Amino acid sequence: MSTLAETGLLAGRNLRRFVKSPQLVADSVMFPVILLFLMLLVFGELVGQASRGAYIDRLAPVIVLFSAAYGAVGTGVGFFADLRGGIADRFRAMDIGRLPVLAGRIAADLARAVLVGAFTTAVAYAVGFRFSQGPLAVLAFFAVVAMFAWIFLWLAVVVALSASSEQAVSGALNTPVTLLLFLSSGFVPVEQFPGWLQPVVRANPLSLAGDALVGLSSGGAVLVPVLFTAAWAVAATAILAPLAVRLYR
Amino acid sequence: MNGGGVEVEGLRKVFGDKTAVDEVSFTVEPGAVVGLLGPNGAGKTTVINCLSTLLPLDGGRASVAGHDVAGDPSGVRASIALTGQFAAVDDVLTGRQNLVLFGRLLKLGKAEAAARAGELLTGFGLADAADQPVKSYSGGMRRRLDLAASLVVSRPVIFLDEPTTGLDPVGRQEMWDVVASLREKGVTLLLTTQYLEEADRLADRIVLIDDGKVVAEGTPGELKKQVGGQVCEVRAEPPEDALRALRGKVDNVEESGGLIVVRDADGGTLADVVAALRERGVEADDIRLRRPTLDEAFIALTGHERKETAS
Repeated sequence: MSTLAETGLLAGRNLRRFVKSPQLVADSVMFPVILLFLMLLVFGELVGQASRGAYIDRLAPVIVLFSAAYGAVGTGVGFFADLRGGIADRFRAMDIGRLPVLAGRIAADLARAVLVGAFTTAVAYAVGFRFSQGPLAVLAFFAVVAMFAWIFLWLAVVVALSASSEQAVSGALNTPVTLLLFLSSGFVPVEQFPGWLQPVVRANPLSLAGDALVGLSSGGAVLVPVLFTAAWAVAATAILAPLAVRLYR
Repeated sequence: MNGGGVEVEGLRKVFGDKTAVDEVSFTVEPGAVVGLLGPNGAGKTTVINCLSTLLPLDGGRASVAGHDVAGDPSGVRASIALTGQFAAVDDVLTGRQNLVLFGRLLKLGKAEAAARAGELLTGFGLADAADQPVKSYSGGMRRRLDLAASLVVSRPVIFLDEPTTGLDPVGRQEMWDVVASLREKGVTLLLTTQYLEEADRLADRIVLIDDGKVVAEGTPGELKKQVGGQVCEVRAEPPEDALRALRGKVDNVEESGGLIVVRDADGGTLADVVAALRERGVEADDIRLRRPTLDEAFIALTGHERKETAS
């Protein structure tokens, strides 16, 4: 059987798991949505006055990206459970490739990230977020979400493969995801960070992908932030994917 | 379906500074059932994991169904089914969805995989629960599903790692029946167990392993013989009287669980025991000669008691 067909079967299994776990679905959707309303309430007024345009145009993309990165914690924990529960060993002892097990996980969770992202976007729509750049830009918007999720999914897989406990997996993923969120230009404009922090905030993939999403939804620079986000994705793939395959051998 | 056996020669596996498996050698003839018997931590699972290509060998060589484990892992994987210690099934999916998934991964077509899943679910008494999520299954049902998943396509060699650990007596009996039916089909089986009774009952040959080393090998009968002759048991009230009567008259006397036990005994010993008891006027409720149990064999061969008792 081809790698692609095996990947498809295993991705189908993971998606099915997700859909059948109401708690997981609720958890991956609720937190980003709560965060969206919270930030809008707390910072909406404040930042709205300081920056051009409505805060929601800036905030919604960041929340969508955060939901993707946050979902990767679930990926790590779920994959870790597979590894410890024995089903990963069953796959390894079967005459199927090693890559499909990883790729099936990534593919399913990529689809999940886009679905959750679409849901979060829909919620944001209800509070004033709008696409104004045409249907192609909407597609590109979600392509960037997927590209961003891709980075964190590989990170999650590598963490799951090297961790010793489930707590270690979520701990090792939650911290960087939370840091990236608050050190991004999503909640607060770059200019309002202390000078020494600004380069970090600018290089943050969440800021870069956020800029790209803002460009694709309400207008602004698109090409440069998309290229930078792609650079992050390529770098993550080059480092993390071979590492994951090696760890899973 | 005599697709070949298992040959293990000088197998070594080291984790850090601990040698988990040390120069282990044994053979499973095609169609035979061999039991790897040993206490917790003896290295049984490590041996199985090496043979099923989950762990690389650190020394020695092994072949499964004619495929070298190190040189042709893919050939090995295509010849084996592995049922590990944990039920390696997806607990969110239903039993049927699990079996269809494994069938499809094992290159069955869609319809074929569905048909095979139905057959196995019926065969393993899971038809009623087929469309329930595995989460709702009992421990025994999970194990049966796990084993069914290993049998989706027929393989000449099957590894069963502690197939009955954690099962209640009913679950264990069901598992034993499955093993018996596999044996009838001529499948080569290597199973690990901590239960002497189980090895005695299921296996043609037993490889006793302790602390990573093979300490004895043979048929259950041969192992019992290796331990020495028979055991003479004397039941008397109080046992101390019988013990005093026998001390100095016969060798290898000890009290064990309220019984007086004379090891390495034969017909002559029995006569000596009867004479010694009569001399002291001790009335015995029961005197009998029996073959040693595998528990006793284990202590004699490894020098220590098993950490867990067979039930």
